[in-house]
Amino acid sequence: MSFLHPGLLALAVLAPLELLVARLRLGPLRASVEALSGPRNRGRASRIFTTASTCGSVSGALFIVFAALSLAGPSWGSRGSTAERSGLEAVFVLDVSRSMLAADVPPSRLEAAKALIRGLIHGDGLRGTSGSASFALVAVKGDGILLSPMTEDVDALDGALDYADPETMTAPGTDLERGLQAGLEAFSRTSAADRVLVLLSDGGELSGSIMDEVQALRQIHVRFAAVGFGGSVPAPVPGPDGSPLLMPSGLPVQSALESTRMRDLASAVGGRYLDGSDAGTSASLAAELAEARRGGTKVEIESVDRSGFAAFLALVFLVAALVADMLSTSGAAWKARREAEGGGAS
Amino acid sequence: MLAFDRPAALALLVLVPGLPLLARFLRGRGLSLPFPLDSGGSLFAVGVPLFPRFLRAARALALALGFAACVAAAAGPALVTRRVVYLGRGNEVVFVLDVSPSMAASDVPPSRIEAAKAIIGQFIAARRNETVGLVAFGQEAALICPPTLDYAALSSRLASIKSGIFGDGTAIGAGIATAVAHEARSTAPEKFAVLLTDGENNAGAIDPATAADAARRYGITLSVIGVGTRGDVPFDYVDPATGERRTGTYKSGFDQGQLERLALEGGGQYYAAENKAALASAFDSLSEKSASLSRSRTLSSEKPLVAQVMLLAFAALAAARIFGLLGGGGRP
Repeated sequence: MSFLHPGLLALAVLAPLELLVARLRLGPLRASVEALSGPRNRGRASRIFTTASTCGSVSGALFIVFAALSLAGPSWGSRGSTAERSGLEAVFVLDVSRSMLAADVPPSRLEAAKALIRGLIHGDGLRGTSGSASFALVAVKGDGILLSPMTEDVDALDGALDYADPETMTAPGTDLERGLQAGLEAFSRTSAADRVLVLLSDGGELSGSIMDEVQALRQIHVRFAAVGFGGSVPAPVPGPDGSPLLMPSGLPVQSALESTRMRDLASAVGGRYLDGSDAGTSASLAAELAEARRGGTKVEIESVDRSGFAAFLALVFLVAALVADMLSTSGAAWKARREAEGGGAS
Repeated sequence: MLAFDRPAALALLVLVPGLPLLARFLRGRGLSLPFPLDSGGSLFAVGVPLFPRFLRAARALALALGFAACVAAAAGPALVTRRVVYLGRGNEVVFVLDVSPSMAASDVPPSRIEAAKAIIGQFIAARRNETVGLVAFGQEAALICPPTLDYAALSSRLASIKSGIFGDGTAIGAGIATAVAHEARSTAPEKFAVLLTDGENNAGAIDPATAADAARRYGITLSVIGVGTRGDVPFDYVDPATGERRTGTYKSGFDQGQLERLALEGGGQYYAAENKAALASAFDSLSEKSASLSRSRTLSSEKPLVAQVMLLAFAALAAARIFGLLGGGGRP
């Protein structure tokens, strides 16, 4: 089972709180019911009240649990659907933050990433497959901007790569969410092409919930690959003049590959993580692009969203809580009154 | 369009008005079941403290809203959108736009270049499956936007173009050659280049006829639109490099014969656009010729709204619970 917004599961902590509040209120309310029922029916009214009230509390708590589950967007299982695909659309989301200038992957992480992209768009990997192949380039730093729109013109994309560097934009940091957002917008709306999004980065921050982008990537069946550049040992980050960038304390700014975040992201989208310095990465990506480029009817597997099912269970327990509430507050007194009137209800 | 995965669940919404009505019915017969969705009487009942009655009414209202939202969430709401996708590659059009200073002449109002940009914008807006690109030229030529289906990106780049950005000159040959270089490897079934200019070739190392011949060899149909009138035309130009403003009249003239020969060489047609109507007419003709015929199908996609509706339910029921604890009734 996986969740689209796992943080919302925290709302389930309100369930024990609900049980606690109900427990604290039970005593005084039961005393009122007993007083209203009279000496003859006190015991029976108290039992009915306690039972209904407890059922109501438990149902209320279960409602909270399933509502939280529904909000978290659970999904499990998978289903396949067929789609007719024609050609390939690939978006490269390239991290151009200053940390990508670190030279732990020679000549630098950024140049290694650019070489990988150039190899993919010009290389032999896509030859021998029919169908059109279009590419787009998005640069991501503190924002995501489209450097080259979706085009078959690989020379134009190659030219745009020349301009992809930390000076492309002033916004600092690496906001992967903005990059993915811009990447998603780069796909054509009217094309039936198979879609691939390749993120090339050394890690980064998220400005908010990236899950909207994750959901969108899943919904439009984008093949996703996150390619990490950099080593696990922190490397110095060069400044604009080429000398090491220094923190206010005078220590050099260092950066290491944050592969965990990229792995998590790839896993959430149903894609894969690849190491940019691995010799097989280029061939693996080229094979994926070639496979995507082949047109025809393809089976697309998607995980099944179960938030509706959780919402249904939440509704069941809400109804149970309402009914129990109704019975607990008046059921005992009503029964007592019926008995006093000789109705003989049991 | 809003759709539900389990629309039958919506039948439970009848309980929202149904339970209070049942409560009133039973109350009329001397039975008192305080249904949670019933406010228990009028908010303005005489002789009863207002605050407790307000809390009861607010609780009933929040509860009704929360219950209704929970029912709606259980029904699986989703926003369904439909879009047409094309299964085949469309044709390709690259505009080769003259941005020399003379394109600032206002004989085709508001100016030749702005009129050309506006009509190209209209052309783009009417496309569905044709890739469109843009080359601009003056003294030099450059690809402004590669052929793309991303019409928003293309429109944004088109808007940024101003006359004079590539110097004082008209390198028609370089403009056409740039378009050919970027269309040559295209897999589009039909490829078009459309030259919009108001002048004679007077810059660049590439002869326009050679470039037009190259276009034809790569299967690109070159059409030419001669923009503007001849003779003295009003002129208002701000040099983008120096910021210097030049106004007055300018003696406009171009070799129509050369442009007609270019179109002939490129396998296309020449259009004389001396005013906006003629320009629009030329584009109507181009639009018809460049339209693609390819198979399409309509795709539906669903965006689940369960979480959003359940969030509303959760908030409303939490409010109901708080009103209840403050004295407006029992659970929730």
